[in-house]
Amino acid sequence: MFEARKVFALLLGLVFFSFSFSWAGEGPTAEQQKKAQLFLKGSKLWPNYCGNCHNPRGPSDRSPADWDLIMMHMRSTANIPAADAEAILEYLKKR
Amino acid sequence: METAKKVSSFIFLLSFFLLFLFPPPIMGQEDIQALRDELRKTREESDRRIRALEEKLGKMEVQSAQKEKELEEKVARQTTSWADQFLKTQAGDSRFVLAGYGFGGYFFSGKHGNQNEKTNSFRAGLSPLFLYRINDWIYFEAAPEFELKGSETEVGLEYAKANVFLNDYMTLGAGKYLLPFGEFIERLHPAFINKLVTFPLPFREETDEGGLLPFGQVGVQLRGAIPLDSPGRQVEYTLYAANSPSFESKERGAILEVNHSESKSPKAFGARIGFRPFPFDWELGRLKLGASTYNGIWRRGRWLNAWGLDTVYQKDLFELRGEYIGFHREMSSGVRTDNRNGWYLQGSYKLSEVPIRFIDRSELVMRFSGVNSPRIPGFDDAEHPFLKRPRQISLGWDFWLTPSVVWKMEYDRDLPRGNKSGNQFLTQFAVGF
Repeated sequence: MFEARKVFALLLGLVFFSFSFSWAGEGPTAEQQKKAQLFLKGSKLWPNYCGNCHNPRGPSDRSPADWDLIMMHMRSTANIPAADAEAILEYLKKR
Repeated sequence: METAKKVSSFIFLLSFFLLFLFPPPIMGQEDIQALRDELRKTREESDRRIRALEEKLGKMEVQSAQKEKELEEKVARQTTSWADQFLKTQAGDSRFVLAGYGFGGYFFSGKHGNQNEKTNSFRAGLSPLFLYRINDWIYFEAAPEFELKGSETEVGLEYAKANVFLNDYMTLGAGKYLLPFGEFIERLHPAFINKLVTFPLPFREETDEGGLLPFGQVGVQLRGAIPLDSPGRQVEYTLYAANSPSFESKERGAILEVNHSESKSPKAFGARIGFRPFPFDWELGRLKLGASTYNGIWRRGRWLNAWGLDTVYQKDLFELRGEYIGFHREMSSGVRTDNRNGWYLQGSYKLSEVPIRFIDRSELVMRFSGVNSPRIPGFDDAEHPFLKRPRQISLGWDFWLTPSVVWKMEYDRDLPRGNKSGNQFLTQFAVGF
């Protein structure tokens, strides 16, 4: 009886072990990788575009929904290409 | 049976004999080791190749997913017209945000020019910015301005404009907008951005204070940016058309009106082009060069042509910027051409690396500006001494509480030609929100 319990516990451990490996093996999805790349790009562009005229504002100054609209205003006013505006927005919303 | 036994014995003996004649090669320890090494290398090489292939496959999966999404978006864009997209706008797509800035300050002016009286007063103003988004590609912005002057509050409309993003590199705007001439008018004049309390002389907003161009125009504009080969290197452009220019009188030096909506003359038009030559990764700092024009017929075939150059260079904590405006107004026959020009050069340095509390939030600013313009008709020189080819040196100290909250102090030394020099002291607390 005691041996059976040991075997059962061992099997259970093996099952968990294999699951943990399978989870660890799953990398970020393509969408997550794209967002991460955008965030990195935005962190570099943020001081360059915004700092041209004023001190770059802290991302926590505004809610993510507010940044959506403020970036529309800045994209037009500061002549920022759409791809760069998207990257800065990702940075401001996720930081 | 006997025969079979004989045959098998024969085969056995023959095999034995052949093995005796041609023995298989006997491998030494060295050969075995060499084989093992070779096998290990082969395994390592194949492992490396498998890893490389896996990495490549991963990248290809990511790229294909991105391309797939881009294609889907492209197809969606191509298969739906603007009208369809607009009609698909949902009630939940719209959004409203309030931003803007406000300021309060104190102004003290000593005796200057022909004036013998000192003046001092408090000032305050508020310029909210209303932003309203209809969907991903249309939004509206409006910025009224309120400024307390004396006992009365002046109300104005700085700009009110609808914007449509036509594509990734082009935006169409219509309404009242800030003149896209140089950078100061359109981008630098808000109190929480301008590093000094006052504006440079050629950009004094009230033209009787020496400003050469009106801040606002009513019309349409097309603007955007085109990225070049590397991030950071790009060309930006703005094309605009507006109501034709008009002056308060036919005389030389007359003030240019802000919006002449009843004119029968063709519309004014102009452009600004800006160029960023340094990619961000060069780490040479940020340089921007710009050129602007503003042109229009102001009266019966007589042209007003203004042109300008602007530049800014920023490196770490240091910033240097400057702008020049040339202004050429054709006059009636027999009257000298109304030529004006103005310029400013401003340098600033943030003291954020000085390890002293409070000082590390400071910024030092110095500006030199000047205007050359004919005397404004109808104004008394005694009351407006700065109008005689003024030059001004401004020294400023800014204390940044946050990136958009600043307390500014400024000392100005006016050097009008042909008059006594004047001094003024200003302080301002400005909040961008």
